[in-house]
Amino acid sequence: MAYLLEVEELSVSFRTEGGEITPVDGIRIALNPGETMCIVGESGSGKSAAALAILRLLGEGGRISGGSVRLNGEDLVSKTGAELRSFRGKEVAMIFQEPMTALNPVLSVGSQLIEAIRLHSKRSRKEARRVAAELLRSVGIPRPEAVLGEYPHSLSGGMRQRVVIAMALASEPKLLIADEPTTALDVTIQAQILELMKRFRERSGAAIVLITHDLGVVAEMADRVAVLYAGRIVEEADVFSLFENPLHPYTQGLMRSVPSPDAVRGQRLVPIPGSVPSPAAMPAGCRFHDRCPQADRRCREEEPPLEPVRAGGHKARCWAVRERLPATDATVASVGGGL
Amino acid sequence: MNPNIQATNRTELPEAPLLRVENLKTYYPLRRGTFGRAAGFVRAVDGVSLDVYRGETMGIVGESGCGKSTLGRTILRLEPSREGRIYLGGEEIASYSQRRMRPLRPRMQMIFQDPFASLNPRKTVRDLLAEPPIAHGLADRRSVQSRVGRLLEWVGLPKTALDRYPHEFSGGQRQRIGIARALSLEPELIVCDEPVSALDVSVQAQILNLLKDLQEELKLTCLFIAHGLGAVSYLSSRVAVMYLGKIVEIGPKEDLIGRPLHPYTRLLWNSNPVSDPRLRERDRTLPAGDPPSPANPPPGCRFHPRCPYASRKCREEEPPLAGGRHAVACHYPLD
Amino acid sequence: MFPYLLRRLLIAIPVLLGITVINFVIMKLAPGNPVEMLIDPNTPPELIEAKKQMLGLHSPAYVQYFKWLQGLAHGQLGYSFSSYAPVSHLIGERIGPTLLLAFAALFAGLLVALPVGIFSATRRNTRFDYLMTGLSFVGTSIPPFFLGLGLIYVFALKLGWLPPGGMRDLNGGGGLGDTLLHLLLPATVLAVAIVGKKIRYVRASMLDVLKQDYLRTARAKGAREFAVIYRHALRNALLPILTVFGSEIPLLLGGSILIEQIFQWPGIGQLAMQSILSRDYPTLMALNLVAAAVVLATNLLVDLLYSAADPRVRYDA
Repeated sequence: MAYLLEVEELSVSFRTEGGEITPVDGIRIALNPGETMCIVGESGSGKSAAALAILRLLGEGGRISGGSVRLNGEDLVSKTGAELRSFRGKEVAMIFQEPMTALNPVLSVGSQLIEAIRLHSKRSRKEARRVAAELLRSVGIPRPEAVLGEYPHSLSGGMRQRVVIAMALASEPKLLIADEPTTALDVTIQAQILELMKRFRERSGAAIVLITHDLGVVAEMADRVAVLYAGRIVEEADVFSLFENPLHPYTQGLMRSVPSPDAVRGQRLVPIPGSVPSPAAMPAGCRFHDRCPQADRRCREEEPPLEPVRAGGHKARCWAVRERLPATDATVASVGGGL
Repeated sequence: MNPNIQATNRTELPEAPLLRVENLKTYYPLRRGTFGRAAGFVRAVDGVSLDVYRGETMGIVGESGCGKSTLGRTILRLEPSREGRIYLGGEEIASYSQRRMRPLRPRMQMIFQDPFASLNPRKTVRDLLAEPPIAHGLADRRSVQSRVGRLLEWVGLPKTALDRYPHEFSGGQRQRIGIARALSLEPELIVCDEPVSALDVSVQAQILNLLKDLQEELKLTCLFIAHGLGAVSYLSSRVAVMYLGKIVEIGPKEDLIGRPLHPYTRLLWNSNPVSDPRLRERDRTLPAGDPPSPANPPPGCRFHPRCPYASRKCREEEPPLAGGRHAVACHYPLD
Repeated sequence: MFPYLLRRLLIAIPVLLGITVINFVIMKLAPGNPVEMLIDPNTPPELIEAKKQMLGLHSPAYVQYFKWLQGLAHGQLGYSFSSYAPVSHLIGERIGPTLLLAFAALFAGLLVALPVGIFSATRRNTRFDYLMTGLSFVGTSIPPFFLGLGLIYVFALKLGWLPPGGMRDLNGGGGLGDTLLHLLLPATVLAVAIVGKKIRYVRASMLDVLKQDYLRTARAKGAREFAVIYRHALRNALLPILTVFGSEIPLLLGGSILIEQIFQWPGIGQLAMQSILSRDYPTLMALNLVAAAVVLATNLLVDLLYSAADPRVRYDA
């Protein structure tokens, strides 16, 4: 089966005053049409840079320093600016974290939405306006006609994020990249926005790459999950397998760090000691070793590969996991296919 | 050790609360024009009453704009109240001038959301921790040093941290410094305003555990303000849910989470994503739309425009907060 | 909108009055008086006394001020102590040239600083950027009088292309072309100073906007780079620039005093200089009032433009 999105050995580098850093270091993602992949990580894991790199929106100082990004088999990394524009917003759309700053403050909601519509379809201004109002209605904005004439500052955060989503859906993209779309919102609004994304997914059959730090959001949305730590994918699995049986010590640590409202009283959280390494000073060996309770000498010296360790394509990048799980399992996994 | 014992003790032996808030209101004028006439008010806190007993942690949850942070700041007299009373250990302080508040300041301290913004970047950790007790006459230059050492130990920072500046620390460590600074005056009441929401998930747990340990070891009395239900329930024995400046439900944590009475509380709980993908197809009702502006709250029950169960009575008549230990402000409580 | 405008205008009245009081006090505190400046030192004292009597300089200062104010209320700005002409007449014939010079310089400055600043920002750290940043430093560092004299020397004396001063040719000139020819050098000197400062300002403002998230949103939509810069970024970058160019107008009025001297430009700068030297109180008071009114009016204009350009700023009553 052909993948919709295929990211191979993608590395992203940024120029900084202290020299070049590589916050994303050789990640591999493959996504089928209609599939939702969540990339989970903390700040500094490189998750946002990875998302931006797909559409080459890294901004000043950032560049793709290795690997390829293929959409329907076409390599986006080698495309010229003009070629890339026919993908941006049309084939692949993006939603950003901060609805407060993602919209231009001096242009009306309508003009920003109409621009998005007219960039990829030959519609008259009037026709585009009608479509814009429809889009706003479809993302649950009351009085869409009136909102078209309003400016972003007069809308709440949740409403702005709906506008951003409406804009992203304008050209019925095949792939939606959402970079922490609900982090800046209240839980009630977050739930509404996630519902909205689910409905869009069902209706359009589009694939979604959802970047988040919140395991709750992952559990709500993902088909498959990649756990990113310090620029590397440390574990990858389908969502049920991951939550049922997290393998990498980092994933396990993340899950034990989140207090659950209905946890038994007195049950303590088990935090991960230390903090996320800076991309300017990545630890040698396994990048998680200095925070890992199970690390031994090998972990400090040699980086483990990301390999299938269980059936269903459950992969982990950990020496201890490889030793613990019988090799047959891994073989089954690689025969079983999936990525 | 066992917080349940504390809870039952309280009902049997009525003791005076450390903090009592009665009908507290904090309004911000909406100024218009050059002469700044108040053209209306943002009713950030609009008639809140609650008691916090010694040694307990009261959690306060709600969406942004519900007034939870303003409530905390008003209790500490960092914001002027418009109406109502605040009793600290029986002493009414809402009417005090700032000068009269000064000797009381050490008794109430705050832990902020952004530890970086709340720590003076030009002072070393030693100064940050030693100056408050000296300024308030709780220690002299000599005796303060052992105090500072003890604080570091409490919050789990190495001695080498003393002569460094806030910017040299990671977010989690800065929050440890912020906690130590708040503890340096040995306050009776600590208001924690979203102390972990700016931190990474793995670091949040470190700070939550630290706060939990300190609670138990130092028998702290806390007001724990957060939007994350998980963090609040991890640390609190009682929880109050705020909506548009009012408490809509208050009670023991287990009751509020296990048996919410206010539709808003339940919808808020429903909105919280569950950490189990098998539960994601669950049937759940969500509150509709955005919360209205606190400058122009709806009449009747403030939640009625978003409430799936609202009736005519809800639109017209404001329900009072009623009930015993588990109180709710709703005409038609659930259950 | 209208109530806002009305209120701003009403507030302007006490402000203007306050400024005239301060100005009057400063003028009175300055050494010398109009009569001493006017008259030959050998004039007999009786004559001086008579002159003072005539000009009303014997009454106490506050009486003099209120007399002036009374005149103002009736629309009278008084008569010049030195030329005896009505002050309104003096200013009336001088204000035109000054405004012409100031706005020509401002317009030219905008015309150069805006595109250069934008280009510098969008091509940051290129040779063009370095060159323009360097030139803008040169522009701010050259004293205007030095540049003025230099330009006169080169273009008027050596090359003879442009007139060295004045506003129109004495023999036969007077058309629009002639005025523009005279305008070229003084306007250039003022514009160079503006351009130097403003290139850096426009560049910084644009750079600030270029970092904003909404530009990434625009790019993610598939917008062309041209549209990203000129449709999305520029309007935001112009907002702070608007304020700064507005604040330039009062400075231009002040700066023109010097330039009008060098180029013999018949504007209020020259008039101000003469009035200061001769302690011509009525003319000075009126000039000051006019300058203050211009400043307040530009501030108001900038605020109104700002609210038109930025939907987040709305003035209602």
